[in-house]
Order: sequence, then C-alpha cells, then structure tokens
Amino acid sequence: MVRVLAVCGNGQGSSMVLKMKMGGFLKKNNIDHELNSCAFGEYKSMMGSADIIVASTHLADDITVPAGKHVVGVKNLLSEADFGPKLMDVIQQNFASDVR
Amino acid sequence: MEFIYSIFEILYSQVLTKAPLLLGIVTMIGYIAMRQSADKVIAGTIKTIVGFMLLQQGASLLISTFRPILDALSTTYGLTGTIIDPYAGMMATMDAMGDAYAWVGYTVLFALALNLLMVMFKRITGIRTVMLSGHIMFQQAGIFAWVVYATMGTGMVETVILAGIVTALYWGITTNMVFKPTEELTGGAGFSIGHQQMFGCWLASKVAPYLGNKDEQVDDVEMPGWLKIFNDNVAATAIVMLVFFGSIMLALGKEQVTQMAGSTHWLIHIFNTGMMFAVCMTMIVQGVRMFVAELTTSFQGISEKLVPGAVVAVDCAAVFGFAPNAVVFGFVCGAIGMLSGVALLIFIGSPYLIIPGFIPMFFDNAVIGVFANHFGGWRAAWKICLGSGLIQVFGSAWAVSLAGLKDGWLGMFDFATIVPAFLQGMRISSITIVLLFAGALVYMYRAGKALRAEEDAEKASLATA
Repeated sequence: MVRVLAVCGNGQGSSMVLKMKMGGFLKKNNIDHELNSCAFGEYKSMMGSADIIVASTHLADDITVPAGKHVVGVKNLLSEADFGPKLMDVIQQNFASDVR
Repeated sequence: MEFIYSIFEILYSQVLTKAPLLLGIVTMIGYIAMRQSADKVIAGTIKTIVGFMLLQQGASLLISTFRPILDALSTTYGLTGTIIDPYAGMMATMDAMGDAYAWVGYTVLFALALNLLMVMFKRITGIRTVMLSGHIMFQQAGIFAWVVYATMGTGMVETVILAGIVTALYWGITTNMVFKPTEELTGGAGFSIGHQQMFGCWLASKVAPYLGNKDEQVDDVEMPGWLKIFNDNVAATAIVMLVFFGSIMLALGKEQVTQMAGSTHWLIHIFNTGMMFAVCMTMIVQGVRMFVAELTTSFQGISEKLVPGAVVAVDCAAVFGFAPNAVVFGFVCGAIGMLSGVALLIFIGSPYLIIPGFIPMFFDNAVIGVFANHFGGWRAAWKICLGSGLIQVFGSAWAVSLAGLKDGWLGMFDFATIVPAFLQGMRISSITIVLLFAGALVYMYRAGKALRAEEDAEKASLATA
C-alpha cells in the first residue's frame, strides 16, 4: 500500500481538498493507497507513516525527505491534470506493486 | 406519554443543544447517507465529538492564559486589547454564546443548504460557487449568529434563520465575485476562493491595474531566505505572539509580571506566555481539523450528489502555488502595514488595542498579494498589501467597538471591512438586514442575467461548431 500525505500551510483547508481529490484519482486508477493530511510544521512527525508527500510548489521546495520517500510539488491542488501525472510517475517507478 | 416526552426533553436539552454531540450526529447521518461501513460511521462520529471537545479545551485554555494579561492592560492603561485571529474570534464567540453555541451548528447547515439552493437555481441567482471550507464556515457562521443574537435578541429559530441567510449570502455572493478573477489568475483551474477575504481579493483585482504594471511581477524581486521560517505555523504563531504579548507584558512592568509569574522568573514567564499561545493554537487547530475533516468530506459528498456542476470555493492557500513569491511579498508588506496600524492606534490614543494574530497577517495579506501581483505587478502588490494590513487593524478596531466580543475577533479583510459596516448598520437599525437582502437581490438579478447570457452564448457556439 502506498501512503500519501497532503501538506499545506495550516493543515486545515487546501491539504484537505487535495486529499479528497487525490483519493478520487487513486481509486479510479486502482492504486492501493492510504491518505493523510497535515500542516507544513508537522510533516516531519507524520513522515514515518508516509511514502509520498504532496504539497503546493511554494512549500514543496522546503520539504526534505529521507531516501526511499518522495516529494511531489503541485501548482493547482484541485486539478487531476496537474497532480495526477506527477503522482503516477512516482508510483509507477517506486511502488509498482500497489498498482492493481 | 410522559415517558416519551421526557426522552424527547433529554434529547433536546442534553444532545441537540450541545455542539459536540449535535455535530457528531450530523456526521453520523451524513456518513450513513453516503452508505459508509459501520466502522467508518462510528470512528467518524467519535472523532467529530472528540475534535470539538478538544477545540473547547484549547479555547478555554487560551482564555485562562491571556485574559489576565488583557485585564491587566485594561486596568493599567485603560485599553481594551483584542486578539485578531479567526480561532481567537471563534473562541470569543463560543465564550459569549455559551450553551447557545449549538445554534451555530444549525446555522452552518442551514446556510450550506441555502448556498446549494442558490447554485441549483444558478440561472436565476447567477451564483455558481459553493463554500466548502469547513473550518472557516464555523468561524463565520458563529460571528453572524452572534451578531443577530446580540443585536436583535432573537431566540434560537429566528437566529438560525436570519444568521443562516446572512451567512449564505456572504458565501454565495463573495465566492461568486472572486470566481472570475481566480479563473484568470489560475489560467482556468475551475475553482474559487472560499476563505475570509473574497471581497478583498476582488477589490485587489479591480484596483491593482491602476496602481502598478502587470508586467513587473514579484518574481523579479529577490526575497530573503530566512523568511521561510514563517512557513511553519507553530513557529510563526509563537514568534508573532511573543513579540506582541512580550511588548504588552513589558509595558505592564516587572512588578505586575512577577506577580503573574508566581515562582517563575518574570522574563522566562514572558517567553513561556508567547509559547503558550502556540500551545493553545495547536490544540484548537487539531480539534477543528478532527471534526472538520469528517464534516468537509460529508459536505463535499452532499454537494456532489445534489449539485454536480457546482464550482467549489476552497481555502485561499489553493492559489499560493501559482505565485509563491507573491505570497511572501504580500505577507511582509501586510505585516508592515499591520505593525504600523498598531503603532498608529497607540499614537492616536485609541481605547482599543488590536493584537494581530499570525493567520490574518500571513494568509490574508499573502492571498491579497497574489491577486494584486497578478493584476498589477509588485508595484500594486506592496501598496495594496500595506493598505490591507492597515485596514485589518483599523477595521477590526471598528468591529470590536461594535461587536461586544472583547477577547477576540476574526480580523480577516472582509471581517474588517464589509462585516463591521454591516454591524454598524445593525446598530443603527435592524432594517439594515432588509437592505442587505435587497442588495443581494440586485446582485443576483445582474449576475443571473450575465450568467444566462454567458451560458446561451456557449450553447450557441457549440451549436454552430
């Protein structure tokens, strides 16, 4: 199962919307997944239970992850056309076993 | 018969009028309607209740920590100190309404229903956007419910109906106003802003072309790297509050602070107080996130089922990715504006002292900066954000003088402009609410006409293609 974490400034609004949009997208593409959302200040403590972090481009540059984990920067948090291909790239390269 | 009545009585007085349990039931009904599995229904319901109780604990801790300082400020200098921050505003509303706060839960639901109705009949109302930022919806409905309740002295049903209509009009109309500018900004991303400064963003998009040049974008301006610390909401809140409450406590003097500090050294106590604000904020934000995560999911489900084509209005941070530099630039200019505003308030001897919170300082000015930059470049952005910072402070002082909530106020741009204007009107006469409805109808008439023309033109071009 691939675990995706949506991150935004306060962890209240846009990360929640991004999480819902990604949920629909991953389900449609038959990917075994688990989703969470949090604030930028919390991502380090949430990283233990995440494989991919997705955040708005203005935050993504400042998110550092250990080897084996991935960061995806997104311009339009609500558009599948934006986060979709980027997310699928990472999943197909690193978590191919979760694609059903 | 008496038995049934007493069950109903308990249900009403102990469950349906207590916000945590009421919202738990709402989540439960929503999840059952969405045909979720039993474990999800139970977990979601419990998390809603626990989240709301956590929020209440955080709010009361915030009050018990900061009220003594604000009270000391009042006795020593005769100043009414008010924190402007959406969560502090929420806390003040909860404190002022007491048990009646459960009405806010009904107001949110009623207003959402009205907003969905407006979109369902969008060819008549002209409104195609639906507000779906759960955390904000509670803060705003709370303020409007309090305004109606406090100025008109209405009971539960009237308060919920009137506040619900006002809230729904604010949501529907302002998110609709800012939809077109957001489309232009994002290159047709298909969403709108549903936050606390839609009027501000719309205004910025209209004024910016006259104040600068669209071609000179903020991206050309170099930003210092240390500003990135403000991306972390916990650190940022602690720093901002340490500055403001530190200054207030220093102004109170060593003697008073030593008295408050007990066995702790007075300087350490000042530092701890700043940190404590971040503690309360983290509790409140975590609590809100827990119950809103559940509610937002069910709101989204309801909206998609009832009005499939609706444009969703979401948190303003959704546009931050489109102009990351303008975010920081707007925040810095806005912060300078707010600090100057506070200094000016003290200088002119205002009886109200505004203590800016991090959320209005950052999110409001950042998003207004993004809009101003897009429509007028950095020259427009610094002027507009400096102005919006000043407006947040002075407009909030205006609102505080009218609202009767002395510990906290929302403080975001719309709540420092159009909302105090509405409050002022309500103070003069309750007829204001009728004028507001009339104004809304005029807007809807014009927006409806524009939307029908747009849709018909689209249809015609499809037919000819």
